[in-house]
Amino acid sequence: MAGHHNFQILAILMAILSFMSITILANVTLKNVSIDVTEDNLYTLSRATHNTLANIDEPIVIDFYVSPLLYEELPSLANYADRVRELLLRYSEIARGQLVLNIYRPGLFTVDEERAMEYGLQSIPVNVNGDPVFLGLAATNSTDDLQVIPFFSPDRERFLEYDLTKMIAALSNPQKPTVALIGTLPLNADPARQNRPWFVYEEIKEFFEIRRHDGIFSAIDDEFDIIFIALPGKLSEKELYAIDQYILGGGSALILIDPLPEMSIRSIYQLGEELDSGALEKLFGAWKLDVDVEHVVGDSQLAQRIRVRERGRDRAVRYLPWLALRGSSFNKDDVITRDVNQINMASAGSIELLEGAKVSISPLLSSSLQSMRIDVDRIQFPPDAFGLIDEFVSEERSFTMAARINGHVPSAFVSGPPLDPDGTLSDIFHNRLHRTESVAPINVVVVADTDILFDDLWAGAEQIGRDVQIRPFASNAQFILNALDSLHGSIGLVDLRSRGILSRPFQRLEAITRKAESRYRSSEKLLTEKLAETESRIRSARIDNSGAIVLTEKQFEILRELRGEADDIRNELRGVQLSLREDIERTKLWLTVVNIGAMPVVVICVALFLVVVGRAHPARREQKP
Amino acid sequence: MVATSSVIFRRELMAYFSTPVAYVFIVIFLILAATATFFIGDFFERNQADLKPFFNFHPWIYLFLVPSVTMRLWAEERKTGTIEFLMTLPVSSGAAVIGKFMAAWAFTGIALALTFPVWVTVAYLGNPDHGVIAASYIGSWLMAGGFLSLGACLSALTRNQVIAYIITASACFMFLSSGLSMVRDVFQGWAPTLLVDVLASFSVLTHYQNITRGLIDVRDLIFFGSLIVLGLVANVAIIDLRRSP
Repeated sequence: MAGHHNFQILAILMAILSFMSITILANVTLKNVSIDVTEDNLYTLSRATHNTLANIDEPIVIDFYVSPLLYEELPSLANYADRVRELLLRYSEIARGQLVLNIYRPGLFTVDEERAMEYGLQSIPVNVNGDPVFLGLAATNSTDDLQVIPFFSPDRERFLEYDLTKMIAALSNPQKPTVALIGTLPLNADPARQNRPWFVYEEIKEFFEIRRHDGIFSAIDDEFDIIFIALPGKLSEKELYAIDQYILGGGSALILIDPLPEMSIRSIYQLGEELDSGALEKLFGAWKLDVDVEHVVGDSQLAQRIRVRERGRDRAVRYLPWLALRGSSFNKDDVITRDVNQINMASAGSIELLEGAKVSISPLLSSSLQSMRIDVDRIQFPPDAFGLIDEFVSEERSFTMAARINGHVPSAFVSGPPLDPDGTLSDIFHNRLHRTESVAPINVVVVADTDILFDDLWAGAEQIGRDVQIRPFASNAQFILNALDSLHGSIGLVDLRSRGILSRPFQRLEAITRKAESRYRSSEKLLTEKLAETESRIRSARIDNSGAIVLTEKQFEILRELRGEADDIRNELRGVQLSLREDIERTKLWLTVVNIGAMPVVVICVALFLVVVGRAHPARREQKP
Repeated sequence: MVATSSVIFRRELMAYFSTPVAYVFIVIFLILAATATFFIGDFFERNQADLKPFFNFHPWIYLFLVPSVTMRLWAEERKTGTIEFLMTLPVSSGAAVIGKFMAAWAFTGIALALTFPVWVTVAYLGNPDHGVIAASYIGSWLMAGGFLSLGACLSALTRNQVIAYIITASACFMFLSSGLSMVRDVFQGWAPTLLVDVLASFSVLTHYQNITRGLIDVRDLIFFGSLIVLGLVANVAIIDLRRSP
């Protein structure tokens, strides 16, 4: 019997040992064997990554640093570190020897730790001693170009593949396409932000060599692959001619203009720049393109909420010109907008074709059918959100706010290059070919908003040591990069940029709020006006014609009546404002109650039913074997 | 053995629903899960059509509820003496253990399936990633299976259901929290680093969270599968150990 006991105990010990060894063995050997069931295949390597890794010409060396202390002190981060390491190993496998991965585990006061610091990797202090831990990498190519990811923050997990592939693409193609930046927008150095560049500029720099095309110019240098016109100021005829000829000659252009660059206007004036929203009118006129900068698009369905103070209370209200574009606002057939998730715009203009246009426009960003054009002078500061809602009358049509322009166009300078003030042709144009029409269909994207680039509209930032990590919450930068990428047509990271920005809001609740607002807004307005009128009557009743302070009995009576009336209106107004929230609160309450209570009630009912049936047919129960 | 197991499975599953305890368990589970989601998990405030607040609480809800399912599995049989009767029948210990475990797992699966209104709710309110939700349900059910197998095995150690409950809850907590820093701190310093790392890889929470991201990794499946098998094998061995004089 003792033998039998020993056998059972041995079996238990063997089971424990087997469990431990199987788990450990699986952890070590079965890497990257998984099924990605996410709708957007978030964890499956994208085509862009495969292409990038397959096209590495010269070997790239990645030195990955992960401190052993991390595993001891920060297990949750260690889990993420393992994920990064596994992804790097997978990259290395796909690259077939063109990606050499070295994994270093820098201990305290070691050569590896020193080298990590030399590369500029960021450490974070852990434990009571503040010991540093590293989780970053440094990558180099054969020409010693260096790319560093100072710290892998779990907050950027969704962007992990994007960050790594972007880095490898930059190392395997050190020659970046060049972009000429023209315009007044302080993208590269904003005085309102201590001359710091905008995040979107930093993002563009990762893939493109972007330089300001400063000074007065009469031609766009051939070295530039794309021109990026961001809010043009006053342009001379020669400068406009240079842009015209560049585009006609097959050059690509991304043009952003704006009826109201409200986010950057202070910086622009601070820089002494002069705004001219019609700077490119001559060019657009020749293309028969109408970019309306006199009106902004207001959209009751896509409007963002802002906080405004009304009658001493903060209220969230839809501000019609500020839009959060989603779903059907994007052209899903165009690579630029195919995978974007949300784009935020502020006071955008609209684009349409004029009669007789030879070009066609392919909308990229459009408003919903619940839109109207609002005169730009109506948009002031502080924003009159309520006023705009009251005046809103849908034009029952969608407006295009960004579009690709396709087709052949004539030159805006039909009679040749612009002449000097004395009527002569400048020497610079003498031996230069004048194009009267485009040599090929033009390659241009026009966006009728520049605030789309502004940091606060699409990203937040986190400071990690000396490094600032951008955390996007909307796809604005992705849209701009996709547009530049598509215009140049060489980098091919478009399908990777969509990764990471995922917002799945409760659309149903948003729709209920919109419906309630439109239902109650008119009665709210009526009551507010009535209250203002009663208050003014109270004020005038208190002032006696003779200027006497003591009120007569009759005046006192009138005053009392008016005050009562004002109180009633206030009560009624409060009721209406409450009703605004009522629909949404009712839906939430209903859903909460159903979720918490409905199923338990059903279970209890089933139990009671079975008890009753059991009592009614005891015999049947007993007959059961 | 399969046929015998399936007979025991059916008998056990029916037995669950012949007492009010099962209904009470399901009702408590449903109320706890929904209340945690809507009140602690800030379901509406997050304004995101996903079920993260719902699934985040499952490990902690199981920690309290799974031991209450498993405590009676063998402890009750031993206390009432029916285990002796069971063992006189032509039923192998393995078949009995598997049958009982499968019934408990199916019962938990029914309780989990009855939470479907929350999935319907989130689909009504927005456009959730159904793949992630389906994976999370699978992960949750596997985690329940791991805890149940552990609990069933520990229930065979004692006649006292309260003791069975307490040791199961403690063991589940150990597996749940082995990746947490406070547990590592206990081993840090005296145990070798390898052992501490190995311990962390046994964290149910880490494996569960991996699945709820929407990525079904074979390592996570192997972990839960081998945890279930470990519980079952140990359970059979303990029953045989107790059966023999």
